[in-house]
Amino acid sequence: MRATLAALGGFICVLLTQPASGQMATDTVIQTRGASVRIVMWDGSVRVRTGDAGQVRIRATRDSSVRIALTTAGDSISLASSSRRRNDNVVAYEIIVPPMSTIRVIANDTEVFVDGPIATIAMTAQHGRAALRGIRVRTMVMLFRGPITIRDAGGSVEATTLRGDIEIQNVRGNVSARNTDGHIHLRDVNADSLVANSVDGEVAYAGLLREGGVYRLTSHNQRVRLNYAPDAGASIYGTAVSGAFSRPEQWRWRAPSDSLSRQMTIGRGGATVRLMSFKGAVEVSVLRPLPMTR
Amino acid sequence: MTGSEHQNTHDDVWPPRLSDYLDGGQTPAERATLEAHVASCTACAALLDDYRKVSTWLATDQPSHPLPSVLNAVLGKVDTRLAARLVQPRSRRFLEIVTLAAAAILLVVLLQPAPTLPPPTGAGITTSPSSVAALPASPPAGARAKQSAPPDSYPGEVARLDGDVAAAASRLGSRGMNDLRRSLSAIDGALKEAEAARRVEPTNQALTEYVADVQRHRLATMRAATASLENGQ
Repeated sequence: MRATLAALGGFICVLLTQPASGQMATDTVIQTRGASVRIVMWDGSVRVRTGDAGQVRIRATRDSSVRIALTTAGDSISLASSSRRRNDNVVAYEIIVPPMSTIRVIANDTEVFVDGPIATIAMTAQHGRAALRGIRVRTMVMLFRGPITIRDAGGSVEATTLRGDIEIQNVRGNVSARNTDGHIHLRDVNADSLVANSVDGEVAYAGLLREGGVYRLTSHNQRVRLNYAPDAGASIYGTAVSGAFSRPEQWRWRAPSDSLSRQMTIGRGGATVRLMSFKGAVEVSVLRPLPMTR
Repeated sequence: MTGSEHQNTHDDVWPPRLSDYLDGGQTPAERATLEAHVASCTACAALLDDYRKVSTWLATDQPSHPLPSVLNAVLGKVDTRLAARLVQPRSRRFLEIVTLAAAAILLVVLLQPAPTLPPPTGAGITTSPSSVAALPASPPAGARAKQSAPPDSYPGEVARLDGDVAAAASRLGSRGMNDLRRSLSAIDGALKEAEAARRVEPTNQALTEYVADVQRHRLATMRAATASLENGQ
């Protein structure tokens, strides 16, 4: 039995409880190992930042009727909150993890704020918000409703929200951003592949275009905009089914048989950009540097 | 007895019995008493559910980016009651049993063959796959972002994912299901318009690609939603 326990990394299950109901309680758990933190919660917030290597600090502020089960297995920590009444199950977590840890959040209505460097985050919530910075390996966010903001990321980024804006900036890695209702704004994505797709929202990209990268921006009902850096090079293919092309003189027909599509080349044409709007406009312009201010 | 004392008594009496219950070490009468209590106590029901999830997590949620173990594996906490719980014999026995159960689950998972796709049920979210043709061939080289490979049959994939969503729908509240239905309905509307345009210009490559784009968007949305449900929403 002891060998089994040791082999599984010292499996520990702990319940954090407070006797008095109706009062806010705060627990601080200092876990001396744990590079992977999984949180299952109902409502509340999660704030994650990095600290010392080999140490995880967890502070949970909640109504005292809420119980939190803390489980460890090897390098993993799991936190699951529960309460007698589901609507009371509100927890505000503040978590400090070693750099390059893994975070996973499964929630109903929760705001998640992460300030890396974190290796991986996977977040799922029906409602809420994700504001993530410094995810280095993989970012996966799925919200049924709520905005997603991702900055300074690497590896791969997959952001999906059914109803909410998506803002992604300064990413070195492939990006997939999808929503149904909400704008998608992206900037400076150094990627082999970028896909941004919205039904009812504007899709806009600004900044650098990686040589050899393929950028695909699509919106059904709103405009699609490309605001490229002055030194960028790309072959740009645009399709507007019932909308218009901005500055049509800069485009040439893609093919005589295709009255909906046009193309242009900027710089040395190193990247490929496909812009598609079914009902909105397709707009391309040069990104102007901000004027210097004294 | 005050509410606080009642809570203390409850916590002292029932949670340890939950551990024993999962251990299988109680008499039939004790198990029946506990089951009756769990049926009427949402806190204990949730706790029991959490206990059961523990073994599942261990079996299925290994860190995707494991880091080296820290040898000093000591749990510290600024709560003396926590330490007291850790040394309770019943908790230790429960942990051993759960650990063995988790090990057994791991073994079963490792020995299982590759999973097969569940058959489509056709239930759940309304879709309109019948009006959609098979996805077009691969896009022109260099002109398409690398995306997940399109399925051989869009209607079949939609039906399969519909089944997955329907199977997991009970874990999703009505608000979430309404959001999902509305989104898929909006995507279906866009798809119908795209297909109508393609019918007018059947040789237009851009429209053909766009129809495939919208189909991919719908599948990706369903996959993301399904994955979130499978994660225990």
